[in-house]
Amino acid sequence: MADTAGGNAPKPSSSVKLVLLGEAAVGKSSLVMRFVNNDFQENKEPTIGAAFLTQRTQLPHRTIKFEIWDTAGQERFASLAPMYYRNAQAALVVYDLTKASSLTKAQHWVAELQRQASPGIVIALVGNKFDLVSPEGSAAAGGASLDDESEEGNNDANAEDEDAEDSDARKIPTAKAAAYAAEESLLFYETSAKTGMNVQEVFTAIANAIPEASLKGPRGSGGAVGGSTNLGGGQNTENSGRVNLTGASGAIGGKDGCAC
Amino acid sequence: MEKLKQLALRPKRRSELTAAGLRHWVLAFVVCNFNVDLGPEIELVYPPSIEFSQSDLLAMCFSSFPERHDTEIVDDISFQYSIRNNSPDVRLDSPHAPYGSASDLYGHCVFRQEYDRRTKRSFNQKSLVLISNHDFPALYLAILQKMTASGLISDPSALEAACAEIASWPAPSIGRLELPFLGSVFVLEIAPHAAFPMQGLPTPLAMQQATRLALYAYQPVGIWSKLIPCMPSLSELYVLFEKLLICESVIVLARSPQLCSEFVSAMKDLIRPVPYAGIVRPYVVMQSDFISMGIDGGMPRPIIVGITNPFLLQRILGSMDKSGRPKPHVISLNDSGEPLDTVPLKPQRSQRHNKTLGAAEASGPGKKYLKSDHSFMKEISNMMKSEASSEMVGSVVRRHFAELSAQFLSPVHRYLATSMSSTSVLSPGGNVQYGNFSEAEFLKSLGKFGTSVNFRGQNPIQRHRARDGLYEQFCRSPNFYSWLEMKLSLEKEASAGLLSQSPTKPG
Repeated sequence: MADTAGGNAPKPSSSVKLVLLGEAAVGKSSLVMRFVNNDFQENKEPTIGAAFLTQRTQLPHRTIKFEIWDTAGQERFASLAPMYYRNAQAALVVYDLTKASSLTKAQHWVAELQRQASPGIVIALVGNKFDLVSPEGSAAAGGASLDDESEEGNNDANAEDEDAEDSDARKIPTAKAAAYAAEESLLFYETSAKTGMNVQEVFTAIANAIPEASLKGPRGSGGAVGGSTNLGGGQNTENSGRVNLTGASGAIGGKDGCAC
Repeated sequence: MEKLKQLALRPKRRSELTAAGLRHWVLAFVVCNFNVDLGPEIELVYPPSIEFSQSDLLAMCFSSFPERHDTEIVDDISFQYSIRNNSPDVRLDSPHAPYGSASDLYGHCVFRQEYDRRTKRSFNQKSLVLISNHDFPALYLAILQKMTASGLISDPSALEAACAEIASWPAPSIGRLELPFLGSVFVLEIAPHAAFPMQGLPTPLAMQQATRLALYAYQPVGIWSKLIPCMPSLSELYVLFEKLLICESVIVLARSPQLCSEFVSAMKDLIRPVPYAGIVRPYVVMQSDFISMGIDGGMPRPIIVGITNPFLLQRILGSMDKSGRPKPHVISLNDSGEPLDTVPLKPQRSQRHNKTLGAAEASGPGKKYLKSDHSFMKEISNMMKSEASSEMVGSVVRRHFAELSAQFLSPVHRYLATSMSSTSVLSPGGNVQYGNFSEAEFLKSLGKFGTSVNFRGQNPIQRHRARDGLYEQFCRSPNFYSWLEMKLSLEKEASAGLLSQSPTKPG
């Protein structure tokens, strides 16, 4: 299938409206800046309203042009959110894995999106600031592993970290967030905008999870259809190691989208 | 007011940065509130750093509300006005064309009336106003509608978000721009000149593609399918066309500021590509500054003015009469009752229109020169009856008059291109100067080659007299010079290769 689509014809390109939501200071703008400019900036000023950026992602069968609405996390802008997620095909709901309250806020956003956003919307839950938890970045993240091993691995890493006053900077265990994500059929990743870990992967996974039927613009002749999201992810060798769990939940999300 | 203070307390550097970027598009948002005891008042100006003079703020206050208290208004109404810029500290700066007006401020306004039994008047009345030195009515209306769609008409967070997002836009420039705003992306086409005809008319191709619908910076906000039923007759379109073409004054009288300002906007479009060279005031009220309009003193200039107050009509007519100026044409629009399904082709001596506003002598002298196209009027009349889509009606009207304008101008073009080429002087910039334009020579050429425009008259002699009369009036009017100036600057830009970069094409 890949061969037929990847012939001499140019890949079909489509625009995807993506919105970032989440509590203030969880790193939404930093994730976008890493994705778009491959850059990181400490102590960014809070976003006012929303910032708009675009970035292309190449998939085997098509090009996705993300139109990214990076919304302000401050509470006073919350009432504007419906304008930003209106007609969005994808959402990144971000929390700070060193701040317990931010997951609660993220869950509120997920619930609101499921209630009010477009029915087929692909939602990714993203726990950011992984660099604060494990400077080595060695522990498994990116939603790949749900198993206890990595959980322990994280704890070990933190226990050894003498700088951490709290003995554990991580306030949200991977398992907890992953279980929630699986329950709600969300894509799930832990990321670090600072190191760049998993940032590209989140957007690629989203691009793969968008049901082809919901894409505007010209469509490819062959290629995968909505249900085979999982397969698309698997073909992408770059991600194949990490997409196990995500792929599974992402496929559910994709199918849900198609059913509507 | 507390919210205003909160906003003002934000770090200065950033707010200055925002204000500078914002100013390319929007000078400020103003929220006006109608206070039953004090009258209209400014509730909030954002960004607060902008320094409007007291007189300008007062003018905005009064111009941002309908003059009549109408308890029946349920939906938001939107309208435009323009006032003279009397704020010396408000800097107008654009890095490149279009530069916007150096002398006028444009107010684009959404008025909302909400029933509230706790208040004295039983209503809360507020207006959200966008002030700019550009007149991009379709874009500004889209901005205001987006800002007020969420429910509140003056939400400080929405104002702040809107300003921050607009401030990140590139400055206006000729061509196509993509402007992200509150979750949508506006596509804006800015033509090389405000008087480009048929802007915003969907081409069949664009309709098919169903891509993002572009807004055109200078497209009129009034839709003919909604305006025509308020007109006394269809042939009135030709009267207006003729009056505007030779830069005469026209007063539009309606009940609602939305109707009069939309009508002014649509009317100006009829004669494009001829830019109306007089003053245009889509909506003025009793408290407006008439001296700056050349009424009650000041420089008398031709004017298009929209009003909603019959007493104001008397005042303007009286003042213009006293200063010995020609009587302006008055069109009174009927928006009081239910819309009529049939609009007479020809003016009727009925009382219908005059009685609605109690306005005496609501109509000036009719057209003198042009012959109405009966088949066109019949077509429109049938379309209105058959409930053709509003875009269709608007599109047919606009194309018809754009064609008429082009037909009217073609003898002038021909004369300038051929007869003058031997005598014209090329300036160092390669600019063709038309300073030695001779009216007599032109009329001679007109007599020789003729025109495809149809003129009134029982016989050829009368028709030729009407033809020469209208061209003579046109060549002597300020419109001729504003049109010539536009033509020259576009030719200059074209020869400099600037136009080839901008894909903006009318229609």
